[in-house]
Amino acid sequence: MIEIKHVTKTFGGTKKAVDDLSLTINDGEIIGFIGPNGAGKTTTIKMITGILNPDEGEILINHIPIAKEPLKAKQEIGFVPDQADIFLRLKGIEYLNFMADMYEVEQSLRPQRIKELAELFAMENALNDKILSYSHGMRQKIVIMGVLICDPKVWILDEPLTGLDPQSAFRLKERMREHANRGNCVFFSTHVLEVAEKLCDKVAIINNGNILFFGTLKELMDEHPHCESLEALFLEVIQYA
Amino acid sequence: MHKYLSLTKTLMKSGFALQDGKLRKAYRFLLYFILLIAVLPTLASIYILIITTLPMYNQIDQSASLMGVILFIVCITTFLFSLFIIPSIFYFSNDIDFLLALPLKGDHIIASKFTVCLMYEYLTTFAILIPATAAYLSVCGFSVSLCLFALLTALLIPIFPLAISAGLTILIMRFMPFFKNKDHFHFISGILLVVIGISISVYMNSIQAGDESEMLSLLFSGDNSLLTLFMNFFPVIPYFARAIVQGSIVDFIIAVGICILSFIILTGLGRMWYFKGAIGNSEASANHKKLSELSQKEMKQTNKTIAYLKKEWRMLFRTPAFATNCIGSTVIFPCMLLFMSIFSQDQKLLFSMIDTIQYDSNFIYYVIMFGLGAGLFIGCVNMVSATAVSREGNNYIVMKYLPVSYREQIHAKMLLGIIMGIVSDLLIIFAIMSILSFDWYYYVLLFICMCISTVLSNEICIIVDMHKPKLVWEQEASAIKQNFSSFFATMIMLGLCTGMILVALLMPNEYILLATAFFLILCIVASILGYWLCGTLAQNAIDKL
Repeated sequence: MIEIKHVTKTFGGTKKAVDDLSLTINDGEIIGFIGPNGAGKTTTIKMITGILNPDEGEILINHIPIAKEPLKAKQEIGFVPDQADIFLRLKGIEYLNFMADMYEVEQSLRPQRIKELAELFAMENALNDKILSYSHGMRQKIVIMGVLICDPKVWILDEPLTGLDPQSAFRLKERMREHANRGNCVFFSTHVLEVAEKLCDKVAIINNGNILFFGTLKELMDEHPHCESLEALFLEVIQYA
Repeated sequence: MHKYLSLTKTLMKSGFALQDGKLRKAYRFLLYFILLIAVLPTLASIYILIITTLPMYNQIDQSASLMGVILFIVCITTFLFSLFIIPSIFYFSNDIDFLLALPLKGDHIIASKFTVCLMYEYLTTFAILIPATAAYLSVCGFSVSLCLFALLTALLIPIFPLAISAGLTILIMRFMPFFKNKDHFHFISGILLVVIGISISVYMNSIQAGDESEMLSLLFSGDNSLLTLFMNFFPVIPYFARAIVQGSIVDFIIAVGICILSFIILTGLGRMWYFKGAIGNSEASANHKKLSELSQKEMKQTNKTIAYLKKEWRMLFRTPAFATNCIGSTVIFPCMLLFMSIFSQDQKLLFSMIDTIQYDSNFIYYVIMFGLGAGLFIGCVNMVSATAVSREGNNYIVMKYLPVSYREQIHAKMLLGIIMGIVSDLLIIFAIMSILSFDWYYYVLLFICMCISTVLSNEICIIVDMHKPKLVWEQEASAIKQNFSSFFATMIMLGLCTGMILVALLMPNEYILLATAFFLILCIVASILGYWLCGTLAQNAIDKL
């Protein structure tokens, strides 16, 4: 469960990247975070994951305040950043093992999880190579695998489907659903509205640091019955905010 | 021409920065000011060297030869720096794929990239030629032609060594696929740089020792005859030297002609082979080993600090820019000490004098003070701790979202610096052992003292780096070479080291015991406090990144 309470973040003293934002993501839910470029998505995600500290407000991860108990809260979170070029000179297997060590995953669980994830993302033949030699999509996969191997309760994914091949994207979406069905929560940003439509229980639309809408897509469509497509719906919400 | 200028301007802006854009103007100005202060002793020494030797050279009609020596230093420095600059800008910059897709002529790209390299080289060229010209003016009197030709030479002379280096690089990258791997290239060129540096030093020593009679006859034959020595290396030197000192327009035109010719040949080479070599540059190779072949050892669970240390170790050793700069300097100092003892007669005499000091009753105090002082500098000169956070670059956010305390992460990073520092200390001890013959317990004492201050120096360096890291860089080498905070930290250590050794040497005998005890206790207490302090400061410092 993620609770964001009246969070504000200002850069350079004047520009409010996030303005009095409140959201509650319950267990068992997948939430899609949608908004135009520069709307405040990544800043919000960075605050949830403890990378940035909010100027005002509070964020709780499974009831743990991340500002006061960062390590305990971070232990609950698995984060996939939007930029997948991480530790490029480590081998894939070394990166996974490093992440497992950081999250204190028991050794007995590791071989099975690594095997399963490697098969899931078709990375069996790549784990012994340096990440530097991977394509963009493979780098994205190894970062996702680094989160999944640790099996944290809260998944926070910043545009996780970018660069993934269709098969891997499908399998990741399946995993996200399974994870939520097991009583955990998934919060991810995306620009692909169809993904949000098919995968998310609710969507949060953000622009200029403010949440414009938070609810199910059905509720959104009911509010704007004249919009015929998702794009039209999204543009209207953003334009007339 | 417009496209060339526009491209050059853009390439310059994207790569030519001492620090990242987050710095305030005042702080940036301060950094440039400190940099100027730091290079002032070098500028002053060039000036003093020329002003004291030029009258003698004037008497034997060799004044242009002295300028030839200065120009030789300019050319060799340009060539050595270009070994890194040329591949970085021509082949391994992230812009190459983008530029190749733009509607630009090949000559525009080559000329723009060459100009950017030239701009980098001007920093050193002007740093050497300004004091040299000032010295000539003060000895020979003011001369417009000297000023004018010196300025034009400073602008033109780097073209020749740079064109040679670029031409060689283009040929190597086109016909030796091994070098197309960025890691291989940087590693080999790093080693090559050290080998060339040592070779030049050995060659200079051998000239001094060997062909003395030949040198003397050249020296006294007048008419700037010594300039012929430089013809084999860089043929532009004699012409530029005569143009500056004698105001010879003919020599200047010949020199300019050679520079233009070298650039035309380079662009010709570039048209034929640069793009074929640059396209499809692979970053790293893959072996596609199957998952079933992965051993259990690779999945072993480890304590967080050790796992983090292992990660740091791998990143340091596998990133050529980090390996050559950090690990390289761990090995270079002991090697230099050994080379000095083998090739230099003066140093041999010095070492034999030191050998006799061990019978002094205060010798043990000198050992402790030298150990503490040397450990401070040797421990940090590898820059492992001084760039520990800077080396993360964009990956610094990983530090922030991992469920590991900043204290543990910083301690793991510092541990790597301490390990590398202690390796350096050990190598220095071995080098000293091969030169001097003290009793064994002096070496043990020296090693212990060096270790204590190595720990302290790593603590200070990492505290400096975590407060002002250089996180915005495109080339990995920039995290170390263009890192002013780290340079500043190393200078502090050098200052402390010099201060401590000077105290040992100048302290009256009756106070040496007191001074030694004071510094020893100070270093031990500061090391313990420093360990605690850098863990405590980490929380606030990393949070602010």
